Amino acid sequence: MSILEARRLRVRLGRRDVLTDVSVGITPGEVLGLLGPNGAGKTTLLKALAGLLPAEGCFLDDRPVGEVPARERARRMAYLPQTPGSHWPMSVRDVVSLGRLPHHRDARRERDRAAIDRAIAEADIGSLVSRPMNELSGGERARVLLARALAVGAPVLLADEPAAFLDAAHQLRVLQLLRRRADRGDAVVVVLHDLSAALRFCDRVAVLGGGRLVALGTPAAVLSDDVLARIFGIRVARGEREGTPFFQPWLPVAS
Amino acid sequence: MTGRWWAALSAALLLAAFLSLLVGSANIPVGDVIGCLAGQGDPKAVTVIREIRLPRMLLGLLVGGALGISGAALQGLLRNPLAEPGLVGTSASAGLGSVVAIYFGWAAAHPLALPLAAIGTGAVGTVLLLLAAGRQAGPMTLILAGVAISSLAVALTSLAMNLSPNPYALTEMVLWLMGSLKDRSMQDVVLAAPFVALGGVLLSLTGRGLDALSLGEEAAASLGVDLSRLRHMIVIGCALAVGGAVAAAGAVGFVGLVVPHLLRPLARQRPSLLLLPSAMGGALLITLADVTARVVPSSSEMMLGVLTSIVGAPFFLTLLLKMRRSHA
Repeated sequence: MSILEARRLRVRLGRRDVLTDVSVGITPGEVLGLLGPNGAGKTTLLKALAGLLPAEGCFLDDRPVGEVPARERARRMAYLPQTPGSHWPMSVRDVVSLGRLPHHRDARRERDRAAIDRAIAEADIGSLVSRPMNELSGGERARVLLARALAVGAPVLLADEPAAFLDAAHQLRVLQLLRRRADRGDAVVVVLHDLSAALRFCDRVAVLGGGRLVALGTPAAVLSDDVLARIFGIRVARGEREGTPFFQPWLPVAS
Repeated sequence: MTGRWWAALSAALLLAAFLSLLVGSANIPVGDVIGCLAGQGDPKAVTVIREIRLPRMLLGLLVGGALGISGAALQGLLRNPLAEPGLVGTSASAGLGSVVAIYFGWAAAHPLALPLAAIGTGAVGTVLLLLAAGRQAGPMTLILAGVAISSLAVALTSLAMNLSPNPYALTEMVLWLMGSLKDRSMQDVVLAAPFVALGGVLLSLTGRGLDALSLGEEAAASLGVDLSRLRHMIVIGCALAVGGAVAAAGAVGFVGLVVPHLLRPLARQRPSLLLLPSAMGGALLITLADVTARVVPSSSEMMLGVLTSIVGAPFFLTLLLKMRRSHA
């Protein structure tokens, strides 16, 4: 059963329909990739699912997201926006510990500390903990912010392009990390621009185009040559490694 | 802040408070000050300590604390180290209320009129600020809106002075706008204290929200922070605290800018850990500035607001240059 679901979701921002009639659910243990060209509505869908936009049609455990108390919602869903860092040059550990804010800090300091340590280890930022944020590279900052989201310890993780600022090795590490989270039973929704990464790491992908859901299913079925050409405007070169198919964007479709 | 810094700040504050009781035109020996506070010793000295210097010392602590914590909270909310009650228009709006209360003679008619007018216009100014800047305003928009509201409040204040019915009222307004703790009584303390205390309590409850906000508004909202509630608490808290402070001491600028900036490294850059130290630091700075105003040899006593501006404005410029260099 879906833990988080959009049912015929419609989002208007100002006078513009940003999302129309989008229905998609996410179950524990899967990675759902949100794909689409720029401006397709991926980030808007993620925000609506996170309860950060006034939208009707999003449900967390069958309850409208807007009716779930903010604190409880924050404990159930961790949201990682696309932001460059923190506004003050706090230490890395202090930033990660902000992930524990939704939890009541009474007699459970031990649990807070354990969650923070685990997130730091998972995001592989152990060597950075005492450094101030303003001295880190863009990639290091992105990993710290990911650790902050992991520290929430929520069963649902919503991440907006978590690999955007990372070098190739760290991109792979972050995607593997999200994969492991799902394998342990979390529900992971991730906005991705890297289509071949989606093919490899996602259980299902939802393709958005012009604010509508264009395709939903396993990446192998959805990312057909036709969809790639029609929605993303690319032709791809395909291959296979260790039984896993992959592709590389090769040429833009002539317009 | 580590325990050592807390101890140092507390000790400095106590020392400054004692200095404030000690320094003045009447020469009262160090050893007699405590006795006079308890009402023992030379009756003249007792009167000087209990009715002149004690209210002045207490008001200094209140005003400084209000400006310090308001600056720290505004900087956290706007995520900008240049924000302070003066810069976003709260002080100028509160000043307008005070001048209007003097202009219409309300201040003379009822002791509560001045603080209430200051708090009222301070709140109106801050609400206008948020309306002008819009719900999703970035720090720059908010500061520009603050400059606009400040200008409007200053223009209306000038108008009141321009149309001032008599020279006495004009002098009173001008002196008010320079900011001072001179000639204040226990009644002023009693009037300002509840507003400053209430505002301070509201602001001190915003720490967790401000910490989360350092990750940006979306991340903060996703961590369960109610952003509009946080904004309201800070607007009302600042209006109460700054309104109370301006009503008691007039316009005293730059304290809310300087103090949080100096203390931020000691607070590990965390907005929540900066609130209380900024209140203490503001109290310390105002008390020391007030003592300085008393001892600087001049024909008439230096005004407190003039002194803080003379020190604060160059500080502001230096900070601006430093920020420009770090962005270059």
